[in-house]
Amino acid sequence: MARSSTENMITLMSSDGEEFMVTEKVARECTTIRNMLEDDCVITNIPLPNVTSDILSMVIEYCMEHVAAAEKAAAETAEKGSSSAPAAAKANKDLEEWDKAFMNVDVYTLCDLILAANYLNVSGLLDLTIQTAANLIKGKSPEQIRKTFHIQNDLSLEEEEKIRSQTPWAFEKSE
Amino acid sequence: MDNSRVCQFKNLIIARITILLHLLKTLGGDPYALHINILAYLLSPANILSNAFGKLLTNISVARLDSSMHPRKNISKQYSKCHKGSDEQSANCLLPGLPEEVALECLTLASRSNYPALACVSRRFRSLISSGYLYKLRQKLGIQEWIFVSTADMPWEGFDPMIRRWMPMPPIPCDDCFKMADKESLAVGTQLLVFGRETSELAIWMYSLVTKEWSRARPMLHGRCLFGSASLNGVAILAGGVDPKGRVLNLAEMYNSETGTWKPLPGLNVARRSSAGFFMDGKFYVIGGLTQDGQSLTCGEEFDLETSVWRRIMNIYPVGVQVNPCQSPPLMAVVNHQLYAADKDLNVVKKYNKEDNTWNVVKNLPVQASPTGWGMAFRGCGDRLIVITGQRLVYSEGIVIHGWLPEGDPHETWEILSARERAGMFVQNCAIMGC
Repeated sequence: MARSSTENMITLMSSDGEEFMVTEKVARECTTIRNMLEDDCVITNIPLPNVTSDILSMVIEYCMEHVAAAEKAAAETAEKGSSSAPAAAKANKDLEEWDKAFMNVDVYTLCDLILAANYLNVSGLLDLTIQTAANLIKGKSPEQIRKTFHIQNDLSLEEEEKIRSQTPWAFEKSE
Repeated sequence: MDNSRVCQFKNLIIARITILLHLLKTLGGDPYALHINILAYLLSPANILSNAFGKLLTNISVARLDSSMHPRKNISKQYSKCHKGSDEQSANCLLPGLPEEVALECLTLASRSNYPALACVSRRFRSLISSGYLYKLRQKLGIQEWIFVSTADMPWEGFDPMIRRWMPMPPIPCDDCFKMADKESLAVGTQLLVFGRETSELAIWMYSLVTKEWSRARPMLHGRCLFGSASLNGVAILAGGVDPKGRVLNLAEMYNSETGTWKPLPGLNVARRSSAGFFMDGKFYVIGGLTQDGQSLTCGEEFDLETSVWRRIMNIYPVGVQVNPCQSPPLMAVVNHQLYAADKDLNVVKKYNKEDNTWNVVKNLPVQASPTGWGMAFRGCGDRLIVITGQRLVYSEGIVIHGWLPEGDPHETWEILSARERAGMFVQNCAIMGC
């Protein structure tokens, strides 16, 4: 980013020892880090023993995209005096599309991202990942849910049959 | 180092609370009150004890902290551990690899009509679904709403507007008198209440979403029909109406769906029947209706649950004049704390302006309303206004659910959410259950 030279840079260190230089603004997207910075403003190096480098790089990617989008919206508002509704709507839509593409990951990565977003407290990313996980359940059969989340079925055939017979509509394909 | 650990712990706990709060804000409820509710729910020892699912709750924070401390390598191990299902801890895993609280949030956000399929996943899921805990969580978050309808030719069925699926319900095990007589309905908490008359007395049948069964609910303190009613957060208020002796009442009472009990509320300023009832901005309202002599009322009343006082609002309902004593209650609906009315004379939807107590037309109704207002439903459901009417369909007479987003593009037309064949043309009852 062009203005990054004038901003404080912070180094985030992943559990496997990789270092990521980010602007303070991007780092502050993580409430956990923001609180650390507010407690002690001279921190420049933050070890994150719970987040691996591949996951951390994704979290940073998410934060950077959202910071950039927010900056762009703020700049447009400042330029025109007021934000134009259609432009803002389009920007929102673009960001939604970006989020959607960003969530195109396997279930293991998704779980790791949820854990990282939870640990670093990135509320937008946590909402996004949890909703994505919820969408993996929507409209799925018990077999599909078990397969997706690696859950072992400990119900007997009779028990399963009993549940199915109570609400047969739930096991048909929806309209 | 110790300090930073504590700090991280604190942050982790605060993290979830912020998320819930954020979620609530985006849903547009009263974030603070709901936030407190959820916290109270998650933390209250009484709840933990009373809930079959309590044991899980006590483990939530611990589980979350533990797994958050695992780097990825350990998480993969956790997967395999949960996969085997031999370890006692792993049997407790809802979604392997995810902290319980996060897993619960995922399940809460999934569609409710998925729950029977979820119950079939494993024993753990089965007991979670049958505990009813997820319904409560959903209700606190106000995530989704279901439409319950009964018509002349179709006993009660539920409809999920999200995935547009109809869900049949078992028949009410009532006597023929109840079957034939006029009924009123109300959804409160995870219950659908159907008010009617059996041979010997007034009766209320209650369908529980959790047990999927009908049972008799406790009778009202003062039995009645043609009351104004609405529900919020598991309680319902019923006001006014006509008692079995034909007297128009000013009495009001509150039903608590958790305990299944009724308690008296202060009386209305004006006795009325056939009024519209709804909640808006956390307060209960009854609007319009008729007096004992059949005079139509233009005033409404607002009940403040905190102070337990009724406030009369003059001229809130000048839309359409009820001249026929057999007319339906005013057709009113609330979407996102905004009141709308269906004006059957002009065949339009009007929006209420809280500031200056006026109404303006915002949309045509999707179909011609019946002259008496009976036989159709006008409700708020999620972000939508819903109109359900009888129509001649391809094969038979049925009902059509129309939906429109009043806060969306004003040029957007009504969307047909579902057309249900062989339901008959007359919508008898309709209730919206928020979950």
